Amino acid sequence: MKVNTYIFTLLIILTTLVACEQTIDLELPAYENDLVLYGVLIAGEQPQIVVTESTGYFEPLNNRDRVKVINNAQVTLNDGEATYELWFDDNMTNYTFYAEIQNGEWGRDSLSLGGYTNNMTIEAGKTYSIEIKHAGRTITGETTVPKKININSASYEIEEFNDPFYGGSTCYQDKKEVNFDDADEENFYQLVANVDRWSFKYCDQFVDGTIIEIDSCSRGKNDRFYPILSDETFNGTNYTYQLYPGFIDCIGGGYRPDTLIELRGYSIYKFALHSVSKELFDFNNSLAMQRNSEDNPFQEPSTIKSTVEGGVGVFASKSAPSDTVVLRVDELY
Amino acid sequence: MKRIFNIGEILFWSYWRYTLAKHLNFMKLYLLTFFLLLSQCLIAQNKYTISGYIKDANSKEDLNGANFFIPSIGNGTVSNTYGLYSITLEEGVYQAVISYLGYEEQFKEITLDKDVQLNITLKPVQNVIGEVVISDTKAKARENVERPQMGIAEITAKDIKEIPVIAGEKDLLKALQLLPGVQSGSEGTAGFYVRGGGPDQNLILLDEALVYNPYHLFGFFSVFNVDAIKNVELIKGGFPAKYGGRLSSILDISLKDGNKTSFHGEGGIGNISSRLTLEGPLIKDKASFIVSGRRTYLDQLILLATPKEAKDQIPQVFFYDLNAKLNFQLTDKDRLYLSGYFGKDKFKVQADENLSFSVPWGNTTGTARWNHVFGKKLFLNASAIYTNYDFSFNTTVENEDSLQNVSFDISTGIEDWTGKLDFDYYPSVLHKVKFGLNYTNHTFSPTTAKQFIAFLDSTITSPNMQREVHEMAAYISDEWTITNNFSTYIGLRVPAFVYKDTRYIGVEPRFIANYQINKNQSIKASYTIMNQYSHLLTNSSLSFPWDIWVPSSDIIKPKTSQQVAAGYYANFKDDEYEVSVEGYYKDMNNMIEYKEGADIFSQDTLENQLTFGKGTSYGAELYIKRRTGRLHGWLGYTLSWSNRQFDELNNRKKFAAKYDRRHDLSLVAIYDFNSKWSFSAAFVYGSGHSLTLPVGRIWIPNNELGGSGSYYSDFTERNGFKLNAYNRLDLGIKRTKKYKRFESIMRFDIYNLYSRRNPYFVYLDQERDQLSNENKFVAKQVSLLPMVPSASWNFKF
Repeated sequence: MKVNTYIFTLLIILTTLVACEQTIDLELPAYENDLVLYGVLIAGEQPQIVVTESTGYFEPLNNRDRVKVINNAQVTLNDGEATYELWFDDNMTNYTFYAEIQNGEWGRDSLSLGGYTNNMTIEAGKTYSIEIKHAGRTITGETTVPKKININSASYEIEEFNDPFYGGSTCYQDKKEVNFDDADEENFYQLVANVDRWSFKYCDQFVDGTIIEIDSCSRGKNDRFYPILSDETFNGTNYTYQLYPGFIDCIGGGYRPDTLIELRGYSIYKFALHSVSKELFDFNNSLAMQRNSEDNPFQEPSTIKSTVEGGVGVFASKSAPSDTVVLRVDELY
Repeated sequence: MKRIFNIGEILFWSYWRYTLAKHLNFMKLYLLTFFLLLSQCLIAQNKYTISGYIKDANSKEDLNGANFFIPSIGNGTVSNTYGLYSITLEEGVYQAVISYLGYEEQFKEITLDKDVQLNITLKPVQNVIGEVVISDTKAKARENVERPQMGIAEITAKDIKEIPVIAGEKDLLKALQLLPGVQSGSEGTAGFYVRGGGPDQNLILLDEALVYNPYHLFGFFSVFNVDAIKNVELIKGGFPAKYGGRLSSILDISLKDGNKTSFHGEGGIGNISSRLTLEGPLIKDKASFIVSGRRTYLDQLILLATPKEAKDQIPQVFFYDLNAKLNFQLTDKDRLYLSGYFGKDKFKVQADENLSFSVPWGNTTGTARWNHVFGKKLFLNASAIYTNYDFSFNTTVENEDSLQNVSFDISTGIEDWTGKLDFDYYPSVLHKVKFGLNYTNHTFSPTTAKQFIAFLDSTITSPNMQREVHEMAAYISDEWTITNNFSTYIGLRVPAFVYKDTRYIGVEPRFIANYQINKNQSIKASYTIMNQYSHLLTNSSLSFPWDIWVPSSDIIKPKTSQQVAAGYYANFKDDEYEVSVEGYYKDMNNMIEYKEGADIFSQDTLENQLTFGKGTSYGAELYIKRRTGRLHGWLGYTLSWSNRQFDELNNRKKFAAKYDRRHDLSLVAIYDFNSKWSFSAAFVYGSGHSLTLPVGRIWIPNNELGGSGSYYSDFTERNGFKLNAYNRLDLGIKRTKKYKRFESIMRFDIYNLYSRRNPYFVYLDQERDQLSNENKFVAKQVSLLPMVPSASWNFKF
């Protein structure tokens, strides 16, 4: 049981010692459904814009019904030179999620939600503005698509350390480094690490496994598992980004392997880099913070940082991915 | 004690002087003012001084704030904290009226042709039920109009003992909540908020020692044992220069000195605790002691009612505290006081057969004071003070297989050593000058965590976050009677703070002007600046005692405030009624909140989890008090606003502070039916507190997070939801029976007579919706205290 859970249990116990709990209907301010925009433009690709409507917090939790897709909005995209009208494509997006499928039965469910698109191609360096009109509501946003930056090189280093969790045993970890040129301005990046083969030694034992894909496995400015990072600590310098202390934390958010197989070998990593807009960095950070805090009574509530006017959501962009750099890590013990 | 005198290495005088020079123009004005005032005193001719101590005739306790008034000149003086008074007048014959709250007035004729030493004893008024019930003396009542002091909320130990109580426990802080400008926290708790400030903005002093956590039993009771208290003064604005370090209020509590003439006792047995106070002379009229203890026995009562096999599952919940004081009159001019407080709370729960929690916390204070009178006009109080506050949370998982044992401990605390020199100087009847220096060495231990995992034989201790800081201040002030109807208080305090290479220095002017319209009416205005270097980090959604105290640093700037206040004060019907209306505006900077998403148990540095902003609060307070008569009491009403604005919160928009409360009303009535029976009632009403709640849900595909779509919450504006209004009515009946040497007091109280379900907190829970047969979120309000009757027996001998 996590410590926070212990503490929360304590709070409940204390309260029940003296409390007379009473359920009340809170008179909340009337909730007006907002338009919700999710639009991340990627250079070199067609736009994909998802428009939904928010629902009241206290409405029943039905995953299928609660995703209220708006399929009849008027969506226009302007690149400073021309205005493009986007149309609704029923099959544009397909999402899966864990949900109560039948009464009391939970499992994987999927939905085809659709979204707005156009045959136009997003170009790096251009500023796009979006306007969405629906039922008297208008939502707007603007983003400038960042330019692609290539990875110069990737390398690694085997680090030996004493892990207190394992009673101070001698342990090993790979420190993988990705090197790219960072312009002298405020920049934001998304590092994508795909792992074709995975094998490493940890605490005098070898752990082996095959990971199909680890998307966006990196650490952000707050040293957490954030997929997108800010360069505020290395702005203007030739930065070597370090996957530290190794992707083991990224795989399972603190997961430590319990299946130990004696197999010496090597790992293959494939790195690619996106430059992303500040809007995406801010919005995704706020999502991650809310996900971390929602079940923790000792963590401050976190609100979503919308980057659009007139509704909720994000209108942002990112560059095309850099050329892929392959790194082989040999476990040389 | 060695650490107290380690001042030389930390005062950084050269730095201080340098920084002061930057404020030189401002300082010059003050210094010039004081020079002029003092020179005026020095050129006077043929003047003599009357001085001495004013004491209780029975116990020989010093009386703080007793009036020494000369009607022929329409002026006088007031005894200081230690009962000393001094007044310098031209040669002549004077009639003096000496008075004090709850004591008989005394008249003295004094021939002043040389310095006069005059110690005065006042007799306590016996409550005579009939034509008049004495509550306050007239001279004391007139202070409200005549003196340049404002923003002061006074409540006597007698008042505290009269008003209805909960569970038989008289509580100082809950009594203060009934005064205008002072708001309560959650239901049933003793926390208080003054003029829109946070709980850490109150400087709480017990015999000059700072008390960081003044609460027992998770905030339901305060740590102050009313039987041991002599004086209580709460200052909400117009702060005297001798006080500093907090933005919103000063709560100065003095313990009794102990009866110097005879042995006495006082005590009580209540629903959840019993207490006993003993006092008496060590050397008659020269030295005395007082010791006062209290312990709850709720845990023992629960145990008695629990089957033997289930006793291990019963939570251990109790607190105890002990006050002790020794008082020595060394010579006519020297006194020594030694006092201390020790209190501890224990809370232990065996949640299941494996899991147990333990939450101990407590305060310890110790104060040594030496008073000395130099000549007739200069009084010194030198103090050495120790304060310690510690809180810890321990959890243990124990199994049959000891290798599976796990424990986790987290603790926080502060230790202070303080040295103070305070001088009172009475150069003439027109001036009362105070000046002094103080230094405190704080050792903050914000959080220390330790985890033990048996099967790994692993103990992990968090990095040492201890911070040693130095805080010091110098001050000077003068209460100046300029004309018979115009008086001022002018003060200046210069605080400084040092933590490693971080140094802060402040300049805090304190100013009050009092214009007396006529004998019964006056108007006053004040302006004060305050700095605060110690901060309490409070989770915005929980208020639990593991809130963490942290000092300022290079990132955590000192909080500062400016407060302006103005008011109208009047006494009516021969001082039977007191009325005041006071308005205030307070501007606060460098306010601290946790960032959104901050985790109070995170390994991240504290500074990285904080965000800084500003706040304003403003409002008006009405106070109407009937001092005398069978039916007496007061009405307090506050209309107020308290807002915050942070760049990183609420999209930079201004938002309501957590305890922003628009209306706050208290009505206290005490009816003395006869010498045996009295009845009391207290009604309180307060607008609901602020809360941030989710109101909507949004669905985000979030490809960027590698997921497949998630729901997120759409919140109200920060603190945009208001809880239900708070109100309740309490009643109390008291029967006093006096014997020759013994007094028996039976009390019966009803808390929350109409069992109003006031909000304690709100949480969200999932339930099955009956209509749709689907899960849904519901908001639940937890109310703690319905109608709570209680009986208690108190005694005195």
